[in-house]
Amino acid sequence: MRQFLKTFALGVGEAFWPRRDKSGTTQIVPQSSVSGRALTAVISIMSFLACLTAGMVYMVNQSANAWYNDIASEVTVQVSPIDGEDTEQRLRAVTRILKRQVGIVRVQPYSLAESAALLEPWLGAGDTLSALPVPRLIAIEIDRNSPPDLSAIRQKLAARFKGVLLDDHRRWQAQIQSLTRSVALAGLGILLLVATATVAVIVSAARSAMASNHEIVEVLHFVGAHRKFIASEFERHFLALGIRSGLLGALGAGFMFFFAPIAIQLLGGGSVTASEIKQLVGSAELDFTGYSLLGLIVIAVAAICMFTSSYWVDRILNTEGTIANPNTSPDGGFSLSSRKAKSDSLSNSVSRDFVVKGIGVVFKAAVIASLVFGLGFVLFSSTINVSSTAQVTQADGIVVLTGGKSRINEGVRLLAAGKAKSLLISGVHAQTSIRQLSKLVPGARPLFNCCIDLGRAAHDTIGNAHETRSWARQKGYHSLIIVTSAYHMPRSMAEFRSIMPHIKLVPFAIESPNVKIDSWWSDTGTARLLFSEYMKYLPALTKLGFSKVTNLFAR
Amino acid sequence: MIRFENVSMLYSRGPEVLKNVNFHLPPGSFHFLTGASGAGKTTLLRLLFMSLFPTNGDIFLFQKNLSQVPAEQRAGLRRRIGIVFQDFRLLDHMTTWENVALPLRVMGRRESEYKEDVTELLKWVGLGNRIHAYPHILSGGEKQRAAIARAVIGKPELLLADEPTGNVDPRMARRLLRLFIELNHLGTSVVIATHDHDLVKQYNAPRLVLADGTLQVRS
Ligand SMILES: Nc1ncnc2c1ncn2[C@@H]1O[C@H](COP(=O)(O)OP(=O)(O)OP(=O)(O)O)[C@@H](O)[C@H]1O
Ligand SMILES: [Mg+2]
Repeated sequence: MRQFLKTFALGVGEAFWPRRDKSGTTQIVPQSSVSGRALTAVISIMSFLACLTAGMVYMVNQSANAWYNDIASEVTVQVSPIDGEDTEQRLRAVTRILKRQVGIVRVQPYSLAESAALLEPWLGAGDTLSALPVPRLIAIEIDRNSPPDLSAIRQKLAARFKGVLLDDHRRWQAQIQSLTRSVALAGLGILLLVATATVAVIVSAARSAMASNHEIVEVLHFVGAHRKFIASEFERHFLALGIRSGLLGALGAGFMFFFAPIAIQLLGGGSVTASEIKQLVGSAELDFTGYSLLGLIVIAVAAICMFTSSYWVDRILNTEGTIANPNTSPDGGFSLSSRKAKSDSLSNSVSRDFVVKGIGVVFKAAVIASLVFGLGFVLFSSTINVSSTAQVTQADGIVVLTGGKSRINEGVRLLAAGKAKSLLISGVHAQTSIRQLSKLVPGARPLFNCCIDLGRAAHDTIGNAHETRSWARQKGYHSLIIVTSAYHMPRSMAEFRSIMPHIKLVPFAIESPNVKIDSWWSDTGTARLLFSEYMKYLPALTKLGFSKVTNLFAR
Repeated sequence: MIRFENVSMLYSRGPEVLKNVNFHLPPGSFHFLTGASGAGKTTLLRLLFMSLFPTNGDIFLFQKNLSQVPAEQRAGLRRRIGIVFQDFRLLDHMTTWENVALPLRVMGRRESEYKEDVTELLKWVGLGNRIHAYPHILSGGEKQRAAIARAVIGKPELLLADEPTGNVDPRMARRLLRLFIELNHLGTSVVIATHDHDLVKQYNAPRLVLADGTLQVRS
């Protein structure tokens, strides 16, 4: 232990004040043979990469958790307008009751203007909104440490009011939780790969440095130096090397993290705001724990360097006198039989080759996978196109997937043009009525009465597909026109095709505002949207592939 | 001091160098070790300082069976042995002086204690003006003398020298031999492996003769 502390102190000292030996005597092991520039550079670069990865993974995890916690601690209450009653007054009454409940930190009713702002992306700005009976929202922040009994509150509200709905975002919570979990898992995987590569590189670099000092180890031992003495001479140099290179790498990474937010703002040139970045990757700043993580990596790198050198001193000393005497010392620890020594070193080099090859294969696979992934994204983006009405052939029915504000308009226009017999609006909110919807499309009231059905069961694209299938079955339709935004079309088609392989589907992709399909690479918002869509498209595509294969066998 | 009992040595990819060798050397003795090139002189010395271990038989040194000395005790035994390697094995990054002082330094002795001794010994072997030179600029003979100085600086109980005069002129060879003899008078056992018949003739000491894997002791 004392020996270790001494080595440690010497190593740390040497890391910061290199080549300062008392009385000017030459070091027993020349420091220059250990801390060559190439070696320092290699270890610094690997430490830098490890620090960068660890910091990034930590940051993404942090923001994902914060996001989840935000969602989990928020509950909203919807107050739907009821004919003949003063919505404003009901809002106040509900707010009052909520404020009296235990476990609620904050109750904030949204004003009409605020509600309108929330709905703007779907319904557009302007006066149309004031004419619509928009449900009003109350945001509630619950005390995460002693949460209230939400079902009791829900019952209480239901007993006193009509058209008041408490939404605890449970469905979103589950989805976001699985999302944050997969983000964390992916990050951990990447971190593991980088850590493995870092350890492998450092170990092999330290090993080759030790190999060039083989002669020194042997001579020292022949003139009577103890193993510990030799090891500590090397360990302190390698510790110093590890600390210096590790710090260099960590400082580089820390510098990146510290200046990343500023750099992003400068490079973004106004198209990306700091708050957008914050939403996507979190604060892009490391907190104290994050920076300590980098410190931990420095310690790990220094320890790896030190232990590798110690290990190789042992290896060199133990291969002394491997010619053996099996008769006189059958169990002597150091005197291996020559055959065993040979096979040992053989199997050792075989297993080392195996590891090296394994790392190579994993690396190549990772490169190929990311190439395919990237290429796939480019292909995906290039297939997204807006359809023209002329392309749309006649079909039995039209299905509009809710989401974009012009989708319903376009669907109704196709219906009016006689492209199909009837129309299904899939994914309508539980409280939206035909009357409210018909106001969105001026002059279409008669169509709504005869030929438009509302589907309220769907919450997402998969739900849309199921809802559509039962609607088509009920109506006996064999061909459908699918109306949705262009970027959403590939995934919708994949989902629809995988559950209704015998129905002819005609895509009608429409433009959406703020989405610049033709120049997605220059618009961050669009690129981000397309990327997240791509990530959802891949599983849908896989599902489609599976269903095609199973259909093949079912036949 | 040294006892070989049925020692055989077979290199894993080479000849059987020693076949059933038995001999005993008392403390304070002086021996030449001779034999043709390739007879196994270096091998025998390496067995003595635990750089090799025999395929068969036992070697006793300082009353210890070398095959059973734990690895961590080897350094302790080697401190009692001075070794002159046939190929010198000086450390290139150290000056002549530092190379010679190395055994004392690894023992943990203070530099002030041995400073004078090292310089004096270097003068004695004729390296007084090469004290600060590095090995790669020394001549073969100068390296050899530095290696000898390193072997004797710690006043070992046993001195093993492999061709210690192979690279020096006859006058220097006589001088070095005197050094070994003086050391022997002070109590050190000495084994000198050599081809040099002149050297052997100059001092009346028993010879260990290696031939065909067997060893004979001749007075
Ligand atoms: N590590 C080794 N592996 C295999 N064979 C070896 C090894 N070292 C020495 N030998 C062989 O063992 C024999 C004895 O070698 P050794 O070096 O002991 O001879 P020597 O008597 O010292 O010769 P010289 O007088 O030339 O120095 C030689 O034939 C040599 O080739
Ligand atoms: Mg030899």
